[in-house]
This record gives sequence, C-alpha cells and structure tokens, in this order.
Amino acid sequence: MESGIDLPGVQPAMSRQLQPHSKPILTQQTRRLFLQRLALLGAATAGSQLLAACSSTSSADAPSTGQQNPTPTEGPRGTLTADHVEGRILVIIELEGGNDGLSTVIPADSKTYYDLRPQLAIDPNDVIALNDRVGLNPRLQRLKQRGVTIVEGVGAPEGDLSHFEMSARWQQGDLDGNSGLRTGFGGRLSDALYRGSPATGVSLGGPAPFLLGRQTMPLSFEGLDDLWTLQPTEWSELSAFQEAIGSFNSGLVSRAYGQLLSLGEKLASVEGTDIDWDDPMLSEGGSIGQQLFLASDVIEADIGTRILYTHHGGFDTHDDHRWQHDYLMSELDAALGGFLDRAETLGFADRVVVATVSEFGRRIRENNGGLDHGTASVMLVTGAIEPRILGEPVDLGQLDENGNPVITTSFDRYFASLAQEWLGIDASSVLPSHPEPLGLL
Amino acid sequence: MIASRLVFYVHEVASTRQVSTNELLDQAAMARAAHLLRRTSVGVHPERISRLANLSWDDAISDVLAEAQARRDELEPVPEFESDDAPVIWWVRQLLGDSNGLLDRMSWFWHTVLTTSIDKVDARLIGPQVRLFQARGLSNFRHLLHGFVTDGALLQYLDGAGSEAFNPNENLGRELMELFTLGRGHYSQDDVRVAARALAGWSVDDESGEVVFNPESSFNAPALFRGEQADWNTEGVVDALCDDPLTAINISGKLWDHIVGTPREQSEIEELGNWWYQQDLEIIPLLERILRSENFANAQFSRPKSGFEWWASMITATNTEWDNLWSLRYLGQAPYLPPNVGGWPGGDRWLGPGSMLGRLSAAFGLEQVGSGPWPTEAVLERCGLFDVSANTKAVLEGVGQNQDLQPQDRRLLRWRVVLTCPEFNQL
Repeated sequence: MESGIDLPGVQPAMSRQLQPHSKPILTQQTRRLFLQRLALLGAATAGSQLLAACSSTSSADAPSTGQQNPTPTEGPRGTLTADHVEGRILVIIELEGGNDGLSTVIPADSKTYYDLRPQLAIDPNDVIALNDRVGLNPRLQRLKQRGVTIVEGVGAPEGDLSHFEMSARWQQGDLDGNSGLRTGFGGRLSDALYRGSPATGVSLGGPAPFLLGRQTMPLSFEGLDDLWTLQPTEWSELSAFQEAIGSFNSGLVSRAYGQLLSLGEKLASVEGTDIDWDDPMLSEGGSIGQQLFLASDVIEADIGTRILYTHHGGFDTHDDHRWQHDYLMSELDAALGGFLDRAETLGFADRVVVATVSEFGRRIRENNGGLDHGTASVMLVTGAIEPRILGEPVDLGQLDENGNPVITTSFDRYFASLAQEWLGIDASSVLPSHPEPLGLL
Repeated sequence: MIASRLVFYVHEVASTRQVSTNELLDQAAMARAAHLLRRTSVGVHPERISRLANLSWDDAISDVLAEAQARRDELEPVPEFESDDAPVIWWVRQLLGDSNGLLDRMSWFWHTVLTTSIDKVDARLIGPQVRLFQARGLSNFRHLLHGFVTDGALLQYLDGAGSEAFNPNENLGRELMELFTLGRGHYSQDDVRVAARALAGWSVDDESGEVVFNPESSFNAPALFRGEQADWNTEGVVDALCDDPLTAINISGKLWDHIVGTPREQSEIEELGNWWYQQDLEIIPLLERILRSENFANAQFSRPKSGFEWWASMITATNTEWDNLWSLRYLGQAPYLPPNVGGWPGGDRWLGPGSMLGRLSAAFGLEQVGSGPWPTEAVLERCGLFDVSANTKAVLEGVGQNQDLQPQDRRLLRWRVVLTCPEFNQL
C-alpha cells in the first residue's frame, strides 16, 4: 500500500470506542526514540534564551497570541487565587463512553441495586469497603492502598443521553450546554497557568477539545512513536532540518519553532529510565498505563506542563458489561498504581492530582448483560490529597422517566474543586456557572 | 514498532524548469495568480497558476468565478458509500482534484461555518450534505439555508431529527440563530423556544436515511418570534432570519475573514453586509465584491493556513498519494470532525506550537521527491511561492551549501524546509 499519509497508532475517529486490547502505543525502543527525537529537535539551537521560558518555574511571559482579541464565546480569563501553588499538575483521565458509577463505587447496602442488577451486581463480599454503605470495585486494590477520593452522584442537572452532547458539555465545562463557550475547561486552566511553555497543556492518546484554550493549544502526542518518523541513521538529515527551521526569524511560525526547539533542548537533558516491561503499569495497564507512563516522563522532563489529558476508552458497555468493566478497572488500577509509584520515585508525588471524567453514568436496570446510557456517575481523584467521600449518593429508588437517578452533584462543582482548590484558579473565572467547590482538600 | 514512513511522490516532470525570457514580469504575475488561487481553491495545482498568470487581475477573477459555475453544472451524482469515512474521503478528493476551484473553496468554507461531525451522524448523510454545499454554496444564502436546516446530517447533528413541537429540542433553533444567521446576542430564549418548535417535525428514516416530515409533530399555532406574531414553520423561521440584515452582516463577515483574513473595521463589515442584504444574499456577487477589493489584492501571505489547508496545499504541491485522513488529526483539523458545533477556532492559533508540531512532523516525513535535481526555485514554484522573504531565501541557500548531506538529502531537505517556511504556512 503506497499510502501517502499513514501514521500508525491513530485510531480512526469512527471507531473511537477502543477495545480493551488496544494496540500498544509504547515500546522500549520508541520511548528512547521519543526522548531522543525531542532532544534532536533542540540540537540546532544551543543556548537558546527561550529555554528559560519553558521551565515551570520561570516568570510569566506574554501569551503567544495575545494580539487576538477574545470573543465572548471564549470565556472569561482565568485568574489565580492567593492560594495558588506554582508547579501543581492536574492529570485528567477520560473514561470514554460513560463509566458506570455503580460498578466503580458499589452501593453494597442497597437492596435496589441488587434487585435491578441480578447478573451484573458486584457481590457485597467482594467490594473493598470504604464505609458501611459503599465500597470500591474489587479490581481497584492499588488505588485503595494509595488512597482515593470518590465524588458521588456527579452529572448535569438537565442532562442528555447523547455521548456527543455530554462530552461536549464536560469538555467545555458547560453545565447546561447553553453557555456558548467554544474553549475547553482545561484550555482555560492552561491559559491561566501559561508561563510561556508550548507544553502547558498536553494531550496523550488522542486529541482533546478539553484543552483548547483562548491562548493555548494542547501539544498532542498520540503515542511516543507518533511524533517523528525517524531512523537513527538519518541523524544528520534531521539536525540539518532543525537548523533550518530554527533559522527562520520572524512571525508566529518562527516563534513556534523556537518554542518547540527549546522544548526539545530541555528534553535532551532528561535521561529517561529504562522501561521495565514487567512493571504492571505496562504489562497490565493497557493503553492508559502507557499514557500515564508517558505522562510521568513529560512531568519529569519539567517542560512546563500543568494539565495532562489522557484517554481510557471502552466504557460504553451496552453489552457484556461485567467482563468489559472489570477489565477496564484492572487496567486503570495498574495504570494509576504505577503512575503514583513513579511520581514518588521521580519526586513529583506532592504536586500531582489525577482525576477522572466521564460524560455520564449508566442505567441502573441491566439490559441483556449490558447497561444503557444514564445520568450520574462517580468520579475518582487520587494523588497529593487526603482520601475523602464527596458529593452525595444518588437515590436509587427515585428514577426519572428513563429509569435514571437524579444527579446530586453538578459536575461544575467538581471542576470548581480541581480549578480552585487544587490549582488555585478562581473557579468563577473559568466556569460560567460560578460553582462552589466541594472541599477536595 | 517504528512508524511507517510518509512517502511523497512528486512528478519528476516538474523538476526541470524552463526559464522564460520575461522572467521578472512572469514572477510578479505568477505571484499574483498564486495568491488568487490559494484563496479561491483548496490546494493549488501549479499548472493552474501559469494559466491565470497570463490574464489581467480582473480577468483572472472573472475566470475563477466563471469556472466555479461551470464546475457546478457538471457535478457527478453522489455515489453510494461502503464505509463510514468514504464520503469524507470522496469529498476531500474533489477538494484536491485537478479541477478544484472556487466551488471547492466555498464548500470547504460552508463546512467550517455550517458544521457537522461524523462522530454523531449516520455516515450515509454526509454525501448529501456535501452535495448541498456544492450545489447551493454559490447560489443564494437563503436557498442554501433552507436546504441546510432540513439536511439529514445537520438534523442528526443538532438534534433536530425526531424533535417534536410539543417538547422540542432547542439545540438546532439556538445554533441556527447564533452560528448560522444572526450571531450571538441578537435573539432571546423565547426566540429559541419558538424557533425550536417551528423547526420540529423532521426526522431521518433509520432504514433509508431519507429525511421525512411528520406534520403531526410539527408546530401549527400562532406564536411570537422576533417580535412578530404569526403561524411559524421551518420555512418561515428561516425566511424571517434571512430577512434580518444582521444575518447578512454576520455571514458576509465570516466570508470576508475566510477569504481576505486581514482585520477590518466593524463599520466596513456592516457596510458589506448591508450591501449584500440589498443583493438578496446572492453569493457570487458577494464573492466578486470581496475578490475585487483592494484589501484582498494586498492580502498576500496574511492569513494563517488552517491545519487542513496546510495539508491540502502540501498534498497538491508534492502530488502525494493518500488514502485516509488520520494524519489530519495531528494537524488539528480532520474534515467532519470539528471540536464542537462552533467549528475550528481559527486565526493565529493555527501557527502556535501545538499546531506547528504536526506540520514539522509531516514535513519531515517527506521521504522521496523523485530523481530530478529540484533546485530551490523549482521547489518554490511547485509550492506556488514566487516572492519569499530574504530570510527564507537565506535559509534555503544554507541548505544548498550544507556539505554534510548527500545531494539527494539536500534535495529532500529543500522540500522539507519549503513546506515549513513562514510563507507556506500562510494563505
């Protein structure tokens, strides 16, 4: 096949529902290549003064596209609060397809739950008890050991059962879908945190409208081997290319090249530990394990990244829910456990929080081994915070006309906590609904 | 796994270049023609530049307009498609085809304004929507919009399909006013509700994919919409919105931004919009007025290429074979996959690092350019660049003098550098 453009590792958008056995995006060889490749990018511009601008601790720089006037739909400008801690990082894991909250955090004391889920309910003796009411999915052992905050009953008050609609609302931080915002919530966070690094917002494993900002666009790595197609023998070809693009001297294009080249320079100093393929993060973590491994590389590289967005696909479990969901939980647990281990080893454990998002939960009543679209779900937060139980459980006895419970905690409040309590960004400045934080810290 | 290489095939025939006797004059005429073609087609085929360069500026504009209308009359029927992405590929092949021109530029423009995503809609509905843009995209905006609000893909995308008047989905009604006609801030929530009812009753048949209208689900009671009490239906709402000069101002402003790209005063856009309103929203006269403006003539290399536009120009310049659109996700703009209903946020963001990283990767992926010598001038000409900056010339000269590289690597590097130079990233 002589396809002109055919980069591997990219899922076509039409089949975005990833299978649990998705293709590895990371290999030992390609990981080294990634670091080398980005390092190569920097080879041509030794001593670039732009390097300083990429450090997470450097002083504020003017936004790269500040000359553009914002439009009303780009949302308000994020403002930092007095509690802002420089260097804190937020990693988002999108559980794509609508994660069933009731299989993630099990209401082990609810008769209704067991009545409506004769096949799919998780045995009360198997759950990892969090209190006398609920327990974690038995596959989340590592997460329990590490400490996890759960946020119950999260969703949109006037919800919708469309993946597309609800994903858009979550990504844009737009509770009712009526705000007209065209930036992503993470993009507005990145704008507020921007200190000159082109890698302020980084998307792994796929594109992320979530990270679309007024000033900042995410750097998107589909996988480590997707950045450059390069063979080691072509070293001089690439360095000559870099030297050339580094010599363009005017306009936004050359500014972007300068930033990317200094990013490469910064990455050149990262040694990059060898990959242990027996590490459960990689042997059991699937694609999300690899993405979080890459995330830890990116954080270690200290290239000014503050928001990372990752994708864990396959949660649209209309069929064979129990098997699929178990598998996805196992991967998530291995990925998160490994990530938090690496965070400690690499010394950033005290400045990273990982939080899940998912467009909606699933129907309570099972349907031929599967679950239809629902409303509320449960979010998980881990990292440098004390474990808590936030939000309110949904009332399984009070269902709407579609058979879904009423949400208890609107997702903008969850976002408000991540913005204001963790990142020190005034929630009202990045969320049009002016929500109250939940008390995450 | 090591990534497979991008392989580019450039026609060898173009790599040997005839130097004309009137070279300087040619260069200015070629630069002007290339500018016109960059803005009025999607990927510029080098062969077309020299043909237009032989015409005066005014005649060249007339030629572009006439050619688009002729192409519209010769559209082939929309084929049946077997896979989900086939209709998009079918469309993109037309956008980049040998005969591509203003009709294609406009169908691309309408897609960026009147967005739909294949993430949400039945792929069978994409072909008919593309055809709507091709068939009506150069006629009359009112005519286009009447077709668009009952287009199956749009109805599914904005939840108009299956919406019933007694409890309508408001999505389509809202976006119709915000994005497709008046612009944000020029309508009330009551207007949204009435519009939603008036737009109800349409659905898409699951089996056939046909758009059907069910009168029982439609609205048939008087209501107040934008200050007028009447029996509103789909057609009436679209007409009422087109009867408001705000629609002409909003849409002509978007077209100005797309074609000219340089900042303009609000008063200029209001003047343009009001003039267009007087022309009954005929699209060809609006295009002609924009193309014949002084702003347009002077706008060379002033508007950033979007991700798709960069890809399209790279493909046509290098004559690259392609069979899928996945790489466009790296470039931030896969057709029919906008980030949201507002389309792709544009402007200078297209030249930011997040976007340029993908272009660097793709340009470095260039692997083969045939066996011709490809001197710098020939590469620039092939890419439609006839007047690059001194800096770009100097960078390319440096490439030519690089003795670390084999001649074939220098040739390849020349191509890679031209595809990444500032001028090639601008329309």
